[in-house]
Amino acid sequence: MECRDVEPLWADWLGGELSAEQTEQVEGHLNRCPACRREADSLRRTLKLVQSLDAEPPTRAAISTSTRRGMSLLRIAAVIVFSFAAGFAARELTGGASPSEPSPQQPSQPITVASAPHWQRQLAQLARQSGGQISFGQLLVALAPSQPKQSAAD
Amino acid sequence: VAASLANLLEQFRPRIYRWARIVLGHHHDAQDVTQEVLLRLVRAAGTDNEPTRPEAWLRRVTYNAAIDRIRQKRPAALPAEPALRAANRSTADASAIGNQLREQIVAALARVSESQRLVLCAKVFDGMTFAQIAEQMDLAVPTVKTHYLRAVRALRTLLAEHGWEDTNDGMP
Repeated sequence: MECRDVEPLWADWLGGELSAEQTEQVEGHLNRCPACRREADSLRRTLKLVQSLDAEPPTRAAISTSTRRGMSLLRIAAVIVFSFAAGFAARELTGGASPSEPSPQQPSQPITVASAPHWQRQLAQLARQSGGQISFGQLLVALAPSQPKQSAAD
Repeated sequence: VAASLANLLEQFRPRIYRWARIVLGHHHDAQDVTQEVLLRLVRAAGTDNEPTRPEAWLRRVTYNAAIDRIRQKRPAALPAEPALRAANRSTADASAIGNQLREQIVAALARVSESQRLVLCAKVFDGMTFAQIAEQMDLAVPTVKTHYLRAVRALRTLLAEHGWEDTNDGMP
């Protein structure tokens, strides 16, 4: 095996997807070729650095972009409920007109007046049914209805 | 539909958290991103934007959200070179990764293309095969392999630019 034969195999070699026979051939070449050996070691070292991200972080915050605690389940629910309440209030105050500058927390389309009582009923029903034992997924699904045509792109 | 969505959320929540934590390295930030991503999934459900491949969609949205979070909060976060030079002697011990080194690796990861990053992360952190990644991302297998190798080489270059000495020191 020559250097030109190894190049197409680097990805499989690094990703551990070479067959036993191919691995033996590549390793045989690496033992004979200092340049390819250097490349192999270099790729492995780089990959090891990436893998190290998955190690348990050090005790001090590594990349602390927030000093506050993470949003609790309750806060998530509050945000969703607030967004709908805000939309409802805005609609009431403007006599049905949509706010000119909707806040990021508001739904992409104004809610209907009738939907607010619906959410109140749904929340009350949810509270009765759950008895305090509701899963995160159930809560999110119950509180955050699908919003039409909202972009999911990044 | 609601029940299946709830199951989906429960199923992927731990993985989303792990992906976010890999990038952010911080419990509370990872929690925030996890909940943000789950909300986006809920909002996309039942719309034209509903993902047909939830895992690939969630991986992309999660890594992007985590990287965006770093860019927004700490746009100039670049560790001093000594952290990377010290890394040359500590890469053998993954648990010894320091804060500055982690930050630099993530910064480099953020600079490679999205496709390269997602392939690399799926391979390294989720242990997927190239064939599995190709199917999930709707790519050809050779394309996936190319993304993977280019990602590693690009990271090597980016890290070297910031002081990482690519030597045999510290290798097992």
